[in-house]
Amino acid sequence: MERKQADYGTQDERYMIQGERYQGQQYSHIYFTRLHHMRTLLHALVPSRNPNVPVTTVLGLEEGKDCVLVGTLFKHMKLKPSILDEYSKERSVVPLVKPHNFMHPEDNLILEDESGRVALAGAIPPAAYVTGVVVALHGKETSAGNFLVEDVLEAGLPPQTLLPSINEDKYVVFVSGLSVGSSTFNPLQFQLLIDHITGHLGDENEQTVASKIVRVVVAGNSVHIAPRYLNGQTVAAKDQPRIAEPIKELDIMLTQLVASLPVDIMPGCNDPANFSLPQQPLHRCLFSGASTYNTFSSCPNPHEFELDNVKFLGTSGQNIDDLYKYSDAKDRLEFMERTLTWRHLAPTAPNSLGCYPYTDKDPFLVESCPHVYFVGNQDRYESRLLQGSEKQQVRLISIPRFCDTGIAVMLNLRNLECTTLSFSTSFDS
Amino acid sequence: MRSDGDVKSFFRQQKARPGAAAAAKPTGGVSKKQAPLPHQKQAAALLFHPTPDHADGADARREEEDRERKAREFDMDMRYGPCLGLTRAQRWHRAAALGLAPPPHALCSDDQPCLWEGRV
Repeated sequence: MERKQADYGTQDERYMIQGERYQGQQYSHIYFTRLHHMRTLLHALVPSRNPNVPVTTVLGLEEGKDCVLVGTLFKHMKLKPSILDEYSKERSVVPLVKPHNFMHPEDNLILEDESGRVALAGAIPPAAYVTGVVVALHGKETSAGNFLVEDVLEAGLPPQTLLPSINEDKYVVFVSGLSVGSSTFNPLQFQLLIDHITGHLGDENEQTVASKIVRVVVAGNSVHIAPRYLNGQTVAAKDQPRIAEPIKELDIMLTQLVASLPVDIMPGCNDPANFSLPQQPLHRCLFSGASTYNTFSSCPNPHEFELDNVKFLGTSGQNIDDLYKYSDAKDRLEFMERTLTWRHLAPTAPNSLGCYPYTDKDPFLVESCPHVYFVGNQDRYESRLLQGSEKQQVRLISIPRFCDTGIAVMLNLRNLECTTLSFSTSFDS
Repeated sequence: MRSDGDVKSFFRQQKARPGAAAAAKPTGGVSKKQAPLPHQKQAAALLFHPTPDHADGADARREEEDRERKAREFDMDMRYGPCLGLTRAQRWHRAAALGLAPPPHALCSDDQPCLWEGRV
């Protein structure tokens, strides 16, 4: 039995921080380039959706006159934590934060461009938007000085290359949130996954399926290092091996995987990588065993690649988790869908999500639509095929944490269908 | 009062005391003084024979002032994006890459910071 192969091409250059120099620049540059790119895009869309309506700037608004505005949204949030609150003398009267996010019924949206800002009212629900999204709005200025929105024009799904027709089954396995070293991590469960993928488990049928797996993507949070070692104090010499222990264990596991098929590993928020997005690849030295194989590739987060010309784009989950804190949707897939229609992977960066202060570009703009869009470290498995207005098809996958659920996701390259691989080590369930 | 008159008087004020201005601003273009155009130098020498050095210096200074004025106008033009944390050349390159048609490259080929650097 021979393992299937797939042509792999990485498109991660845009997420690599190379030759950038920090010269005290602030985040205004990112917002400027984002607005500039999105405005050219939206200006091209306005004539087809709202013909005969003039496009203007905030400064050029006239009361009662129909027009289209393009700008960056700012969401004024009552409950958004602010460092200044901790220094304020008087006890704040701010109501308590809900357990899961910072939303409040009084949140309101403001639109900004280079010339000014205007408060928004009307047909734009604050709950669905976050700071940093660029939209075009059709409406008019009211006598109160607000902008009454009639219609929101989002950029929509980016253009997509044609999905290649593959006439045989080839699978890609996604796993995230291994959390090696945490109390919930079950080594046997992960070993079962490895043995299944490498074809050491099951009968001939299962091995045939396993031989069609062409790649494994580890989407973040692979290790868990006890927080008591990360409190900023010098780590005692006797504790140092304990910090390295989870990584060594992960390396042993990964070595078994890379010996039989290609593996991509992305950093997540708990991994020993930089905090701010885009997270740079985990250093090869961390994986002394696995990195000796050329099937091992350490990738940045976000990660963009192609397998047999099927385009993949994914993150380790920070962008969606942050949207969940500052906006509302019925499930995680809806957040993912929004980031695609806004054409921006992480609109809340740099506002509430760490981000490198780029001066000449915004790397998170989505210029071409992926076929598969995955997000790691979510609570549960969800998947949906998203249809765009121009026949784009995107498979959205929310990958659950493996250490909590024991679920890995298997995607078929032939028809973009998704199944789960579920592993359990207890008899009663 | 006309507003453009205001701007002009602002620039003239800056130029009237070149010594003070150079001391105050971190930018000061020093390199251009050594390279006045040769034919201008000759013309100046022919016309103002009694005081050639003086005329030559004034000419070069005027040219430099002109350059610096244009560079500052570029700094102040918010169409090309925020300027703090970038050198003029970097900002020019970004504007060109974004298709914003910035003014001629010559005035920003230096690695000077913008007008506001260190002041805000």
